[in-house]
Amino acid sequence: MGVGYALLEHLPPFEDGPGNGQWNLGQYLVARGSDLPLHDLEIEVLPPATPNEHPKGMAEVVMIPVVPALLNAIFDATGRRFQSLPVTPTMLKGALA
Amino acid sequence: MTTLAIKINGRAHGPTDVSDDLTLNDFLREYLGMTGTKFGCGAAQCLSCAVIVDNADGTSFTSPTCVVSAASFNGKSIRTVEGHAKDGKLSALQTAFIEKFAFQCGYCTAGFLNEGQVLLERLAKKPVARGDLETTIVEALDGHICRCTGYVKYHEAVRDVILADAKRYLIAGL
Repeated sequence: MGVGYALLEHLPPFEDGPGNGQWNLGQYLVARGSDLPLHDLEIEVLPPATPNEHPKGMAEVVMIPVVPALLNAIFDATGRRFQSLPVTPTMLKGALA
Repeated sequence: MTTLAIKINGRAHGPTDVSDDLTLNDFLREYLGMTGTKFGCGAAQCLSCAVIVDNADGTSFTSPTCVVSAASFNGKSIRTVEGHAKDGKLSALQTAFIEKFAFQCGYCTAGFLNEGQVLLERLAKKPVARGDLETTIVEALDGHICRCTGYVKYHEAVRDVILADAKRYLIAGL
């Protein structure tokens, strides 16, 4: 979800975008398994801060750091800071040209 | 109207008359009450609606059901998510999905389960080298969209089942 937000989702507002009610997965691009480094991903589950802590929902809040993490990785690799989302392959090729 | 006779999870249904524009998804969900097969994008893009189609030669493939007419499955044999467990015992892949916590909302799970099962059966007939396994899994599952998990736990679950029975699914020594 965070990968899509950072790299794939171009969502113009209102009638020019999904607001017209006609969009499906042809326009709204969602990251697929092949977009991700599935062999090398490690998921770390942190223990609760205290043993008797109640379970909490995480939901979309956890998507927030994914975008700066990816854009920092792009900066690390290319030396370019991007100021808008999504950072598409075309933009990356432009940065590397 | 068209006549539809179809075998689902080994059980014969019909022949029954169905409308030409009835999708297989609606036939399963609305006519038979088999709601394990989901309806996602309605455009064959997400494959949450995929079922297994068994060919007469013993090979199988998955097919979306949302944009495909029920009538086009006349004479075919298919499997749905309801058909994987035998005598109340979950399949190895179902167990791995649960143990790996592979899914969250579960909407895409039936599609991933069917695709993963087809992959297992394909590898049992035609094993791959360990070095090609990761790519093989990614390519097999790639048409399926999951919005919750980031795919890695599905990937790990399928890989776990294969590695747990490596003699069956992998080429020895490679």
